Amino acid sequence: MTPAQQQQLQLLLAELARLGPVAEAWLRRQPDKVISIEVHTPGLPPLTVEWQRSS
Amino acid sequence: MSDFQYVSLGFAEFVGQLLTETFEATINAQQYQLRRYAELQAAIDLPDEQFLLQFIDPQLVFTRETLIAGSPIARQMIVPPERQAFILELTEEFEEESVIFKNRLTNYGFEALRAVIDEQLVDEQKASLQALLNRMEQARLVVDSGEINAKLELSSLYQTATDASAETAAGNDGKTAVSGVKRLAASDAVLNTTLVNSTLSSGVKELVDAETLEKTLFLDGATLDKTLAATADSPVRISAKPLPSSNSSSVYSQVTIRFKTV
Repeated sequence: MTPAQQQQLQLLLAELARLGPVAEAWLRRQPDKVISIEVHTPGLPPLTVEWQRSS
Repeated sequence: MSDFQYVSLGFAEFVGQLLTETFEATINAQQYQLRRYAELQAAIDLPDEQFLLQFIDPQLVFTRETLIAGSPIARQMIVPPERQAFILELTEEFEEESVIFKNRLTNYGFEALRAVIDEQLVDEQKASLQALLNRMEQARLVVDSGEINAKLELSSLYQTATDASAETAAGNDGKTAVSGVKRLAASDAVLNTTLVNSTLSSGVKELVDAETLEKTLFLDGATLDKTLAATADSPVRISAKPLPSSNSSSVYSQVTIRFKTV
């Protein structure tokens, strides 16, 4: 992975991490759900982030 | 709609909005059904007298009276001979006085026939609502999983510190400038100056599929949080711009939101 791709990947991860509070807020309302977000970007491996209430 | 503009949002804001709107829509759809169900159940549970007042159209009463007696019923009305047997059969439970006397509907007969007609209409309408309720129970929409896809054009936005003096000069009062206010400007060049020394190695597990040799990296939440913290002051954000369906480009990013019930 080139440095530019690695930078792009980290930026994308940071964006996905910013979604944490949104997902957690919904999981408080619907605790029986699992939410996953998958991002396909040219030149980068697919990224999947999943949120689930811990028991 | 022709004036609709495809605007850019921060990636997280865009996906967060998509997530929120999707969940709101599914919850609203389910709540609407529950409200309708509760309303129907409450209607069925009403006492007959109240149900008659609220849900039986007077026109329906007139139509039923005409069907039975040949015209809307009235005290002392003349009952056509061919309908008398039918009316007596309908009101056979009312035995205290005569229902029809000398071809006329008595006051007692009028009250008896009204009671019979009202009861018929209420029973029919409640049965109809109950059937509807049963169908709702069987076919109730429950969204327990879903998938939303969006095609996006991603780009990097560089966040620069605002020039305080310029901001002050631009302000109407000329007195205050909000420190720390930043603005976004598109720039790809700054990618080379940011996050160069960052690493993804900590908190990452790599799994390899034995058959396809495809590698999968697993990052735990704490690692993601660290990534966020490390880039919190980063001057670079990724923005997302939804692509119109008419877009023919083959190079685009795609975000898929999935949710399921466990």
